[in-house]
Parts: sequence; structure tokens; C-alpha cells
Amino acid sequence: MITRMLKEIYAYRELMFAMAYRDIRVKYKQAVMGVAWVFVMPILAIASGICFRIAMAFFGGRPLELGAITGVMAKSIPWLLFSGIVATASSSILGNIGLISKIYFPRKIVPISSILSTMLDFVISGTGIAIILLVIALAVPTEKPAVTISWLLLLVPFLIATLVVLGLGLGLFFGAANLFFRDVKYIVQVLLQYGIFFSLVYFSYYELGQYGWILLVNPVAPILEVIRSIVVQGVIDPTLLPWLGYSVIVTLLVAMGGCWVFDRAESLFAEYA
Amino acid sequence: MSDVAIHVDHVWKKFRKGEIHDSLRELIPAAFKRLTGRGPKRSDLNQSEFWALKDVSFEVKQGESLGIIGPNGAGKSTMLKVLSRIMKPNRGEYRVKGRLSALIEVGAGFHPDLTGRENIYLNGTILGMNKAEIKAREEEIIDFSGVESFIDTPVKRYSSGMGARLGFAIAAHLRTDVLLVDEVLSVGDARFRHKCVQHMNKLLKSGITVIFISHILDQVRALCPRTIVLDKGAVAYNGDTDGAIREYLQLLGTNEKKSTEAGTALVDVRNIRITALDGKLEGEWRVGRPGLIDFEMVSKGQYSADHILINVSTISGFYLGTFNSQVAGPTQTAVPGRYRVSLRVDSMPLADGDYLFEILICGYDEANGWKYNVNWQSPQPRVVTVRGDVPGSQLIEFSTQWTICPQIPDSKRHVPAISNSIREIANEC
Repeated sequence: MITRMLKEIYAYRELMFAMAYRDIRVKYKQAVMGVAWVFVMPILAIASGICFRIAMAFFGGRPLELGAITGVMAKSIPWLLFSGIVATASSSILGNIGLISKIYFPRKIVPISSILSTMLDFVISGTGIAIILLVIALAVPTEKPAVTISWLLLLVPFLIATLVVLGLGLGLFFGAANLFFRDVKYIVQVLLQYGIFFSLVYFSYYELGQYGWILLVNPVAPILEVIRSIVVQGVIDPTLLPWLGYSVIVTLLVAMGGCWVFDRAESLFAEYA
Repeated sequence: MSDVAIHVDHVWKKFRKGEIHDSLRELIPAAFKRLTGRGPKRSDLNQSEFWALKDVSFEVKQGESLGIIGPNGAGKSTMLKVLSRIMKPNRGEYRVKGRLSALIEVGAGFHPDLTGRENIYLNGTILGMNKAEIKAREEEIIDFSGVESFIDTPVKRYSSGMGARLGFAIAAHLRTDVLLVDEVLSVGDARFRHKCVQHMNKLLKSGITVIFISHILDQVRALCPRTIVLDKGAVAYNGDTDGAIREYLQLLGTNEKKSTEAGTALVDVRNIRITALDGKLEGEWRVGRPGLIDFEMVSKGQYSADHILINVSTISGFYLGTFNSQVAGPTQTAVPGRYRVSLRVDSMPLADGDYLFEILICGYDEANGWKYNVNWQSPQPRVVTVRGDVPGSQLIEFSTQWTICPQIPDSKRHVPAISNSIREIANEC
């Protein structure tokens, strides 16, 4: 099934890029902020994370550490990528229903092309954050490590890729479901809105005390936590290793499940349109 | 078998009536069962479902153009959606040889914020062309659509006709082996429509296979030698287009008949015969020759059948004119009984083609006033075939005489006085 899907996607790659190009063009055409928009969401996400850290430091009676802020930075951007992918892929089928009920093409192209513009946003904002973190690493002296440059950083792209696959798997599932039950988009919206607190974006598992590990059951959380521990400390927290394995397994299962559901459902799309 | 481009083998497709699902609680288990392949089989019909296509089979040869006509809801568009893989049939199978493109709705997939040119690339890619192919055809497409001066304007500022023309132009320039056309040749103004039909003819000559759906019967006749009539999802006729059109009109007639009240006829019309005076076949008339329309009329006396109208229109419903009995005065048929009506037409002015003759009896009574068509039992128009030497799309054949002669130099020409008649000028040369 997977090889057949990949073949189809390859055969229709031009369409995939044309649709992604359309999404990108339309996003920045007639927009007040234009390309600056790419930075708004990350800045807001990081700013609220910093507020969160300040509040935590205040109640804990401890000084605010730079490492906490860089941790929030390192986790917010991948989180935005993940939630963006789930959101756009989920709504993509319904958003292109006019096409789907009129013209034949492999329907997988729709969610996959829809996430390309989200990924482009990530590349731009991610580069920005990487530069800021690099500046902090080189220029700001701290007692505790805030940013550590290590070989482990090379693992980060793979961790991001895991997030993309997980997000796309969920997006395929919700995108297909959205066509049959129109309330699915509200479910997705609510899940993503509060998901940021259950994915350990603004804090870490050990900061939640004895039962903090429960949140690691959310497969997004271990990935974000591993990214943080690599960026901030230059190591992989050994407690997180089994959880990372768990995340990868869940990701593969979700991706396969999403593909399977989408594949079974796609021939019915035109009828439920 | 190798020259068969489309082979449809006992295809069935069902749809649901009414709301698709009642509650989430019912549907989740049902959907799960269906996805996992258990539960009721997808090819069986339950109460809330109906067959949109019932056991449809046909073949189209390579390079052939096949028309599909039928009343609304007969399953024509569903058939195309199945062929173009938008929908899967519940039973049966079909094969399409080569690359297939569907002109189902022009401009589907246009994005209003993108310019015409950007939309050419987007829509062309959606329809299955690659960048190089589109680039090679770009100028041709723009030229055909006739929107050159607005090609770099966002499509949302286009008039609806411009959008449709651009959409058609893109779709019509696809490189394809099989083309499915659904009701799209009616976009744009008369001139553009003509251009579309010409383009379709050109495509047909180049050897591609076409399936053509339209309610504009003249277009079907101009483009397709063979036509299928679909009725309530089943093939009602498969053969030459003239026969198909007759079958289709008959279907429209009978469907309408069922919906009118039975037994309320005040005047009944029977035994309609339309014969050319010099012809052998009933219902066939030669251009410019005399003919006879006659029928029996049974009056029940409640209405005074004041006058009789025979409306003539093209098979696609374009009204051409009326034979009106009022020129001969009132019919005086208020006394119940049988009457024989006969109308002699001295010369058939219509050109080669099929026409509809509809007999209307116009009555008057004190209580209801004027009532057109009191002969409710036979509201179904008759098809009259007119045969001429010039087949084509014209409606009227003019009875003319041409005179072409060399022009006399001015110096030698005798300038006729104003009182001279045309005949005299003609005699000059």
C-alpha cells in the first residue's frame, strides 16, 4: 500500500507542487503583513512561553534561567509545525471539495500539498530561531548551559521529520473523517488549542513532579523534550530515550493507520461532498 | 477488441436518498464495519438507496464520438463521474484505453485570487498536463479564450463568461486520448459556442474518442453519429442519433403524461398523421414540398374548441412558428362529437432536420376563460423529419434564384429611369 501511494504521489508530483504554490501565493497575496506573517505566530508562541516561565520562576522563588527560555524557543517552533500540519491537512479535503467532486487525481495529493506551505513557514521561522540560538550560544555567557552546540544537533532534523510524519498521519485521518462528519474540524481545533499544554512545550516533564511522565504518553511530548535536551544541554536525557522509541513506534502506527483509512475512504469523497 | 477505447460492462452505481446519516452513534460502528469489510455488502441495495446507474453496458470505438442524452436525473453525469474515476461503481467494471480527461465543469479549481495565467498552469496541472506541455500551449489557450488583455488580472475580476471561456480553453487543449464532455459547450456567447463546436470537430478529426453529454440536441446531432439514451439509470436506446433523439423526446412525453391527471380530457386528439403529399414515409417531409397534417378531434362539448394551434419548434425547443386555425375562423366544435381536422401546408420552408410539431386545442368557456391546450391526453409533440439536399445546421431553406452576370462598363451602360422595374435591370445583362 505504501509503495503504491508513494508511486502515485510521485506520478502527480507536479500537481502537488502546483497546489502548494497556489496555497503559498494566495496566502501572501492581499495580506496586510505579507511575509512578515511567518514570524507572527512563532513570536506570539515564544512570548507566551516566556511569560509562562516568568510566572513559574516567580512562584518557585527561583531566578529565571536563560536555559528555560531557549528550551521554550526550541520546542515552540516544532510544535507550531506539528499543529499547523494537523490543522491544514485536516481541513484540506473539505477545502478542495470543488476539485475533488469534479476532477480525478489521487486524493492524497491534497493533504500532502497542503502541508508544504506550512513546512515552508517552518523553514523560515526555524532558520530565524536557529540564528538567535546560535547568537546566544556564542555571545551570552551563562553559568548553566542555555544552548550547547554538539554533534547531537544533527539528530534534530530526524526528530522534526518524525513530527511531520505524525502530523500528516493524523491529518490524513482527520481530513478523511472531516468529510463524513463535519464537526471533526471543531474537535481538531480544540485539541490543537489546548494540546500545547499537554505536549510539554512550555515546561518539562520533570517540572511537573512525580507524575510528570504521564504527559510523555502524548507522542509529541517526548520528541519535543528530546529536542530541548539536545539544544539546551547537548545530551539526550536518558529518561527520555525509551519514550522516544515509543513516540517513533506510535508515529509509524498513526501514519500507517492514517494512510489506510484515507486510502479506504478516498473513493467515497465525491459522494459525500 | 483493440479498437475499443471505452468498454463499460454491467455497471451499477447506487446513491442514498435523504440525509446521509442519522446520528454519529449509529454511523461510527457502521462505518467501521464497512471499512473493515464486514457488515452488509456494499453492492446490495437497502431501503434508503436507489440505483443511479442500472446495469449500464456500452462500448465506444477509438476515434468515435458517442452522445449521451436523457431526462434530468437519468444518470448521465454519474456515468461520466464513474468513467473519470471520481466515483467507483458498486458493481460491474469498465476499461478506458489511454489517457482520459473530463470536461465536467470548466474552471473547477480556478483560484479567484490568482491571475488568468497562473490559473492556466494550476488548472492545466490539475487536468493532468505537465509544465512543458502547458507552456507549449499557453499562447494557443489564451488566444482561444479571447481574454488576452486580462490574462494577468486575478480571475475574480473576470466576468463569468470570461472565466468559463478560459476554463474551456484550458480543458479543450489537453493532450488526451479520450475526452468526456458534460454540458460545457454551452458556455460563453453564441460566437464562442460556435468556436467550441468547431474545436470539438477538429479534435474528433484528430482521432480522439469523445463522450458527449448535452441537452442541446442539435449539438449532439452535429457531433455524434451514435447516441445512448439513459432513463432512470438504464440504457433505453443505443443507436443512431436521430433515433436516440426520437426516443428521448418520447421519454419526455411519457414522463410528462404520467404527471398530468388522467381522464380530464375535454377534447381528445387521435390519429395524428403528418404526411408529405408526395412522400411515402409518414412523418417525413421534403424541403419545399407540400404536406398534410391531419387528425381526429373528439369534443366532449364542455369547451368550445375555438381554434387550433400547431406549434413548430426545433428539437432543442427553439420556437419557430405556429400554424393557427384562426385564419380560417372559429372551429365551431362546441357540439360534442368527432371532427376531422386537416391542414395542408403548400411548401415546407424548414431545412433538413428534425422538428417538433405540437398540437394545441384552445378552448373558451364562461367559467374559466381562455384555456390553451385542452387536449390533455396528447400533450406529447410529434417529431417530423424534413429531408433536403443540403444537410446542415440551418433552420430555413430559402426558395431562391440566383443571377450572376458580367458587369457592363459604366460608359456603355444604359442608366435606367427611376420608373424602370428591377426586372428590366436584370434583363440588361
